Amino acid sequence: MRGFALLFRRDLSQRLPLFIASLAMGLFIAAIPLLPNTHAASAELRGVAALITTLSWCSILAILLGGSIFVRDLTEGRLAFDFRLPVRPGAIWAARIFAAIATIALAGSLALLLPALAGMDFVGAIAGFEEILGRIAGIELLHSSPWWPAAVFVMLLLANTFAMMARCRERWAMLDFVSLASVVVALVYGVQLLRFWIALRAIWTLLTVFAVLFTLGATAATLAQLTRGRTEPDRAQKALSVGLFVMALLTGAFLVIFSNWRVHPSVAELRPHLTKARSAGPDWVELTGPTNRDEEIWPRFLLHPSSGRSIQLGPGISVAEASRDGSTLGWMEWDDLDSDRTSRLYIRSTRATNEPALPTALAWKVSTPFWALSPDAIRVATLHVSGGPDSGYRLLVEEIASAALIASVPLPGCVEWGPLFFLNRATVLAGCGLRREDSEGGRWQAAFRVEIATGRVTEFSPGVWLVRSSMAPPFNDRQRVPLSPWFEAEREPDFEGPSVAGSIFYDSERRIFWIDPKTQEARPLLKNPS
Amino acid sequence: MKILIRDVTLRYGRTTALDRLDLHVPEGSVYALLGRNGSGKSSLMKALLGHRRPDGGILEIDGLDPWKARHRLMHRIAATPETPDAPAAMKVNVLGSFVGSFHRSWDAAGFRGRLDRFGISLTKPFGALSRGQKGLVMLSLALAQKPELLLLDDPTLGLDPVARRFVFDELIGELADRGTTVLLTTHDLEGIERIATHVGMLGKGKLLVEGEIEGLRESAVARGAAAPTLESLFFHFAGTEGN
Repeated sequence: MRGFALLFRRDLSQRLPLFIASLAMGLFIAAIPLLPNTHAASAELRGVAALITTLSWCSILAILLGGSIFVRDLTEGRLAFDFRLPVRPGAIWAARIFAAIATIALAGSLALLLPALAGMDFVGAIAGFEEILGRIAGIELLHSSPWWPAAVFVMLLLANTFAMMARCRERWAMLDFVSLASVVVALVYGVQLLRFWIALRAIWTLLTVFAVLFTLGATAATLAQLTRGRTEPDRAQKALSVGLFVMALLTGAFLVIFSNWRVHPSVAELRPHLTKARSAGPDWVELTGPTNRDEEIWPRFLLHPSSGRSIQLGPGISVAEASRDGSTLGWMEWDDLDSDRTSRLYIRSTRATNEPALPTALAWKVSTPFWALSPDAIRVATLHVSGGPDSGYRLLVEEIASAALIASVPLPGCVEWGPLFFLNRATVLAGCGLRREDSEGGRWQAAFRVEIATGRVTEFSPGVWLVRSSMAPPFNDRQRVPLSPWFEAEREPDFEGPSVAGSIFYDSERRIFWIDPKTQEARPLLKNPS
Repeated sequence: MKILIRDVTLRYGRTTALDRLDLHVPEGSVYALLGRNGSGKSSLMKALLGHRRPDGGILEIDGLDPWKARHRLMHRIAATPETPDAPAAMKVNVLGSFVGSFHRSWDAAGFRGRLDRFGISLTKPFGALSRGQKGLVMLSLALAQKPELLLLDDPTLGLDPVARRFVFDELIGELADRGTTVLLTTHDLEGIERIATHVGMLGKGKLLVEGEIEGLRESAVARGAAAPTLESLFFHFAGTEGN
């Protein structure tokens, strides 16, 4: 401990000029409001200037010290001086590392001292900078400031690594590149995977554990560099490289395993009382809901209840659909990470047990969870925003095998989406919300109708059903859980259909039923379903 | 202090610096390790100081492995490097206080006295000194520790004749006072002849010959060597060895 203290004091006392420079910087920052043409409030201006200057200064010091505390003395043969003292290698390492940290902290504090005495809004500047960082990173970084010192420390460690590569020029440096590149690739992979599943809290967990692992690993590597390599550059480089490789291996394994573990729970982990179940044909059930692993992610599973077999679907908002005979299942998964995500249709035969799901050529920028698979699993119907927010939806019917467009039916006035049903292979039932002004309670409300849109291209005819509702849009805005839009629906007098529908659903033979709210009885929607 | 060097091998990549080296350094001796450049002298010094771990063999000082127990041994060992390596910004007196604070037996007066004799200012930063002055400061630092073992790696390298004389005079004084074991490497054969009791000669990392100087002289004469100086002994045993 005595050896550590003596070496620490020596290193710190040799950096006196840096501390004087820091004070001079602080003096300049404190005087900035006195400069001509400065219009912002003095405290605000000083706060912003102090933050930018301090962060830059600390980063520069971290890079300079990181590149010199071990490597310069090692390559110039001066590290042997410390190793001729009766001090343990660990104490030499600790003294140099902690002296560098103390130098950066003290220099930063001294740069802030005079602006603080003159009055500055440092807290406001930090909040503003956090917001800017968040915008750059594309995620919310409102409370990232406690991590900034850690980031500066990582800079110091990385500067040491790069200085070793540059100055020692050993073949082992190639391993450093491989290690650091592997960590970056694993980090990007992990973050992208979690972003794909919109698991923002998991990203924070991933980044936090990564930062801790990386920092600890890189710190341990520099410890090995000094204690194993001592005064010999070739041995020091080897020890550092091996240390970094082990760190990269552990960190990379964590990033890959954690991100996959987080998004791939088993079906048994779904919370029973919060799980949503929906029939996906005669043999399969679609289950979705939160798990204890991550409440943010609602994994989707296709469960075969009789065998207990389950398939986890990729991320997406659509529900799974089955052909009438249950031989084919279809669902949509997101294809990319764009904010306006593309959903691709996947098809899987239920006859072969191990047959993989096949991505089809059909992919859309859809924003509705509902779509429809024709009873023979040959066609697919989707709803798309046709223009601006109030220009309504457009119904597209396409053939799966050829990706050919069969029908494109505009639904003017349909500004809120509803479910889609193929009544038969040529007729689609589309649920739409009609926005109308309703001053009741001073709130705007949406009305819903059901249209049987029939295209003119092939076998469609232009008959339309409307079922109007006065309820809110089919989203619970807090939970984003689709609600039934048919509750308390009223019949349009001009059209046939249920006067009031509680819900509309497929039965196991894919016939469409509606619930009469008065009697709570299920009735066929069509007199002749075929 | 007993030094055990048995079968020691040390490699730099594919280059073998010490090749199964055996050396016998008697306690209280002044052992001059001679050899051409690259013969492995400095590598042995590094191994003895615990700066580099040998790749094979046994290397012990008083029964302790210098690699593992370096910090303990350095209370009793002092060393000067081939190239002076003290922090450049430290003033000489601060440097003395700094090194002295690690050693209980630090001879502050002896340190100042030597520097005074060498004519080196205590208030000058180490980096501002000449090459020769730096070497003398390093020697003063080593001697002020009152070590039991003194390891000197070419202490007269780059020194002018006056400074060289200073070095050997100081060593003679130290040895007369305390009887310290000294292991030193040097190319200054004339100077070392005044103080060395034992000589070992290395070539390509191997021991060519070792023994008391007088014994080697007699051996050389018996083999027909003309002048039994250390220089002639060096040429006799190591002069034709390449590296």
